Amino acid sequence: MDPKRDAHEGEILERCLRQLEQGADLETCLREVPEAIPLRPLLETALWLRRGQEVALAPAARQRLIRQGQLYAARRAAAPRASCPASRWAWALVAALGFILVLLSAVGAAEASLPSEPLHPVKRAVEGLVTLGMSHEEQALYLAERRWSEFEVAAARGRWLPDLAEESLVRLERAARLRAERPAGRAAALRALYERQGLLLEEAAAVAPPELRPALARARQHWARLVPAFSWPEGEIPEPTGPVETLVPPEPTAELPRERTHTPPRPEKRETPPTLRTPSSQEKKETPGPDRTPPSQKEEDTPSPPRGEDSALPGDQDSRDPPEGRR
Amino acid sequence: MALEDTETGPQLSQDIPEDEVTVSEMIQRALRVLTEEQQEVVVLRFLVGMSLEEVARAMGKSVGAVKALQHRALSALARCLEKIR
Repeated sequence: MDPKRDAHEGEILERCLRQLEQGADLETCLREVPEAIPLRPLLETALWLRRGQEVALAPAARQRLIRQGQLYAARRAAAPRASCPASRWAWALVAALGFILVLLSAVGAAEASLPSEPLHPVKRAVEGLVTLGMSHEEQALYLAERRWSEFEVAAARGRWLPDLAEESLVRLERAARLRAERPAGRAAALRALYERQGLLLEEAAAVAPPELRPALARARQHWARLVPAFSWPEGEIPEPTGPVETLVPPEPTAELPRERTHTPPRPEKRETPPTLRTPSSQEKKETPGPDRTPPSQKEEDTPSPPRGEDSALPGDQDSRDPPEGRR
Repeated sequence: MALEDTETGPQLSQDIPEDEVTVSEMIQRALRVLTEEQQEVVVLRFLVGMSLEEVARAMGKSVGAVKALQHRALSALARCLEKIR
C-alpha cells in the first residue's frame, strides 16, 4: 500500500462524494473528475450506503447502526483513555517523581558508602556536582575531608585503606598549596584536617595488619612532608575565623599551655607536632592510640613539622618517622 | 434490490419491515469486515450523514486521517458487497 497514492485517491474520493452529496449523479461526477473512474466501485458503495440510509432503513434499523457506530466509538474512546494527553502528563509526572525518589534514596545510601562498594561511584558523582561551584582550594579541601572521613569510617570497622589516606593527603596538599597562594583561604579547616590525619595515621601505623603497614607508613611520611606546604608562620596559631567546616571541633587553646596546642613546636625544642600528642577533643572521644609513646621517645621517632630556619627537610621528617618496630 | 418498495412494507417484530432488515443486515455484515475505526467513519459519514470535518472532530482525528480511513473502508466494503451480491 502506497500512502501517497492512498492519500491522493482519498482526496479524489472525497471530492466526488461531496459532488454526490450536492446532488450530482455518478456519471456526471466521473466525467468531471476522470481520475475518479477507478474509484467507481467505492463511489457506488457510498451511494448504496446513503440510499440504504435514505430509503431502505427504517428509523429503528438506522438507529441500531448508529448505535453500533457509537458503541465502537465509545469503546475505542474508553480503552485508550489512559493515554489521553492529560493522563500521559500525569503518568510522566508520577514516573519523574518516582525516579527522583529512587535517585535521592540512592544518593542518601551512597553517602555512607566506601570504596569498592557498589554505590561509591554514585557518591563520587554527587561530589563532582557538589564541588562544581567551589573554588579550587575549597574543592581540594572538601574532597580531602571526604576521603579522610571514609578512611576514618573504614578504620573504625577495622579496614585500613592506605589509598584513601594517600588521596586525602594529596588533596590536602593541593589545598594547602592553593591556600598559600591565597592567604584568605580556610587555614583553620586545613589545620583541623591535618591534625585528624596525624592522629589516625599514628594509630594506623601501630594497629593495622602488617601487610598494610608499609603503605600506611608511606602515607604518614607523606603527611609529615606536608608541613612546608602549609607555610604556617612560626608561632602562629591558625585560629578559625568562622565556623570550621570539618567534623573535628576546634581544639580549646586557652586552657592549655601554648606548646600543647596548635602552636608548631619551637625549632630548638624539636618536639613532635603538638597536635599529635595533645589530647584534643577528638582524640579524647576516639579510641586512644594503642601505643602512647613517652614524650622522650617521641622526640626521637615522631616527625616534627619544620618551622622557620630550623624547618626540617622532607627527608629529615621522613627520618623521624616512627621506626618500623613501633608500627 | 427494490429498496423503495420496502419503505412502507409490513413490520416484523418491533417496527422493522422484513426487507429493511435484509438491507440493514447486509450493511451490518459488510461493516463487520471493517476495523472499528473504519466502521465508525462509515456509520458517521454515510448513515448519520456527517461531513468529513464533523467526523474528524467526533473521532478526534485529523481530516486527512479520516479521509484515508474512509477510502480504505469503502474499498473493503466494495469488495465485500461484491461477494455478497
